[in-house]
Amino acid sequence: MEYKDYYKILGVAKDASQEDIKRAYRKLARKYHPDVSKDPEAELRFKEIGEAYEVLKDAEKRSAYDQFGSNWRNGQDFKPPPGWDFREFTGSHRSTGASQHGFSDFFEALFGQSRPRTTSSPFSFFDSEIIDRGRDIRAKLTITLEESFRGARRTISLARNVVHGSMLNTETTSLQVTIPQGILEGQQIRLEGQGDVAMEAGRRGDLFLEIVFDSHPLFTVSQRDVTMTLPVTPWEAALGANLKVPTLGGPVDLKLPAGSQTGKKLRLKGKGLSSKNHTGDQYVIISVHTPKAETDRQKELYKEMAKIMPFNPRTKLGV
Amino acid sequence: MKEKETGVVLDDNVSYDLKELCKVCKVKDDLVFDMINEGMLTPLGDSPKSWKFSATSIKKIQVAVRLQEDLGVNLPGAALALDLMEELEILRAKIGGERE
Repeated sequence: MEYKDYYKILGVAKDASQEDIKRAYRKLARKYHPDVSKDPEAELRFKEIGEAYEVLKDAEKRSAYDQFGSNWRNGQDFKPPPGWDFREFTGSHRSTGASQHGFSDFFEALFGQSRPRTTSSPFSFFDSEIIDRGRDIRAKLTITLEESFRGARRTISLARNVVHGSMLNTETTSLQVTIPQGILEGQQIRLEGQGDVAMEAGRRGDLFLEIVFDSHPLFTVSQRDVTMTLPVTPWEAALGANLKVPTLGGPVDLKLPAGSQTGKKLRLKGKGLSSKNHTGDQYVIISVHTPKAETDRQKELYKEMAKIMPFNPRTKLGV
Repeated sequence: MKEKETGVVLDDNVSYDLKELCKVCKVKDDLVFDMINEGMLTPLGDSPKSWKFSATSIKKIQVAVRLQEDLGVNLPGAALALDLMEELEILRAKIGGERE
């Protein structure tokens, strides 16, 4: 298993005071909280930070951990020394709310298994009706804009616990999830009864899948509308043109009106992320690109244009 | 083992009454009342019995619970964080659009 440098993870010195450790933890926890951070590594970092703090905030765990000395590097292959036994201290730790899974193998080899969160939270509860239910699991599901546009089916693999006799083990299961047309980023799909199971046996908690959009090379998204920039030539912009434009559903024809300028916004109705009850549109922003004047003939053409159609786009600037 | 699952998309096609909302989020109704008083949730209907909550309430409750548990903020602090994150989302979408 990999050695974890808990001091490095919290960015503190080996002789940091308990106050320093707490401050460093609090600051990093705010920064990497998976509900706050957009960093794709946030969930992992948050879990690591929580684990590091779990060890370093506790004087006994910290001094036990310090016994390994300071020659270990983060990620180095590690085996606990023979005769290591710290398991009597396992009662208290639990992983924090936003981190899905328990602690690392390294932690568990040293300090025993983390207990999954139970009913001790002052904010959430299990009333008599649902006391025998397991924990909810939440996960992010990254999809493409095309998948939202068309709707899709995705097979996801999910690690959740399962009761084996008197033990709770982890199993990996495969679920097929239907992604409806027009699902938006941040929306959740709730799969009832697909979460973890409680030791007391009984029903599983729920699975919440939160949708995240993969970044798209052409389109940006705002709610249901998608926007792209369409480069056009000066003559297309001036004279008007019929142009092929990409949409999430494939290319369509767009009529560019004569006299279009850079920044002009055209709308393709219904080409955004439409759902059963809501329509999303595609916006096309025109961007006029001018060809380079390289040959003499080309330079002459530009000069002729200047002569035939004198034009000052800066009249409003007062210069 | 492969299972076929459809799932419920928590969008504006679904709404929940108070009891269902508490059950889905696994929270006490006290928290829902507190969040309403904080202006974080706005149910439709004029009495708790007739209240209807949009599905976006679910995520707000879940995030508010996690922020309180993990970061030790109180409810007004969680409310502020939620508002600011919403604003941040809008700004991010705008910046994304301009970068094109």
